[in-house]
Amino acid sequence: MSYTVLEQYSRDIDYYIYNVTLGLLHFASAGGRLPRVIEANDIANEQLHENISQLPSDFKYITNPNLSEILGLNQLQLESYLTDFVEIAKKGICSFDKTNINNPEDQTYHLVAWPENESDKFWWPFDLPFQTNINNIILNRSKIPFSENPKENWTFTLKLD
Amino acid sequence: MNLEEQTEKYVIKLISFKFKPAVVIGAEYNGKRVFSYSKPCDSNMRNSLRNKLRELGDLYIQKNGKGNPIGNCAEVNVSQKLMIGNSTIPLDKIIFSTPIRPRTKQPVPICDNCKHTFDK
Repeated sequence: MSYTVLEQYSRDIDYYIYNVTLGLLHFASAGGRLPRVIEANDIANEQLHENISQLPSDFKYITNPNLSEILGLNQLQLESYLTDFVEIAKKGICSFDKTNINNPEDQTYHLVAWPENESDKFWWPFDLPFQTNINNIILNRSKIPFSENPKENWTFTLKLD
Repeated sequence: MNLEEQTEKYVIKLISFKFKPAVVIGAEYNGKRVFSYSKPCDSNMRNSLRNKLRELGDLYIQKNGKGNPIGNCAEVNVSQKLMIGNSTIPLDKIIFSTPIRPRTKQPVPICDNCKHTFDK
C-alpha cells in the first residue's frame, strides 16, 4: 500500500529516515509530498511511528535557537509550535519540520529539536521496517561535514525519488 | 466564544485523537458555524461550489501539476459542511477562521485555489 497523493497533501505525516552517521531522523510532512520510499511504505511507516510513540521519553533535549528567525514566530507561538518535536527528541531522535508549509512542493526541512545525549541515539527496541538511507534522498545541504556544522544550521532538501 | 476560539477548541479535540490533518479551519455564515480539515472533498457537492472549483480544473487534480489538488483544502470541506441545508450561500460571503496547522498551531496562508474559489 502507498500514501496517495491526496493523502499526502491533506495530512501532516510523521516519517522516519535512517542514516548510519546521524541515526534515525524524524520528519513532519506538513501536507507536503513524501520521498518515494516513504510513499511506498505507508503501513510500515505508520507502524514505526506507533512503535516510536511508545518509547520512553527519557532523553534531555535541545531546541533550535534559530526557530523564531526561521519561522517568524513570537515566544508564545513558539511554545505551541515545539510540543510535537520535543516529544520526538525526548525519545532520542532528531526531529525536523517542513520549513515552507504553504508550498507543498518545497522539500526543505529544518532541525527543530534533538536529544542532548547523542551516544544513545542508535538504540531502539525494534527492527526498522524499510531501508531509507538519507544519503540517497538528500538533494542538497551544507557542504560542511555534520560533525563541524552546528545542528541549528542543519537544513535538508529531500529528493522525492 | 468567537470563531477563532472555537476553531482552536476543535484543533485540540483532533490532537487528542492523535489526528493530524495538514490544515484545520472554521467557517461561519448567518450565525451557523462548522469546522473541518484538509481531505479529499465529497464529489457530491452544491453546484455553486462545484462550478467554481471546475474553473480551476478537475477535482482531485493539481492545477498545472503543482500545489494543492483541487477540492482537497480545508476551506472546501468546511464550505460543503456549511452548505448542508442551505445551498444558496454565496461563496464570497463565507467567513473563515484563520487556517491552522494542528501539529504546531501555525497559521497557514490561504492557497491560490481557495483565493479564487472564495474570492479572498
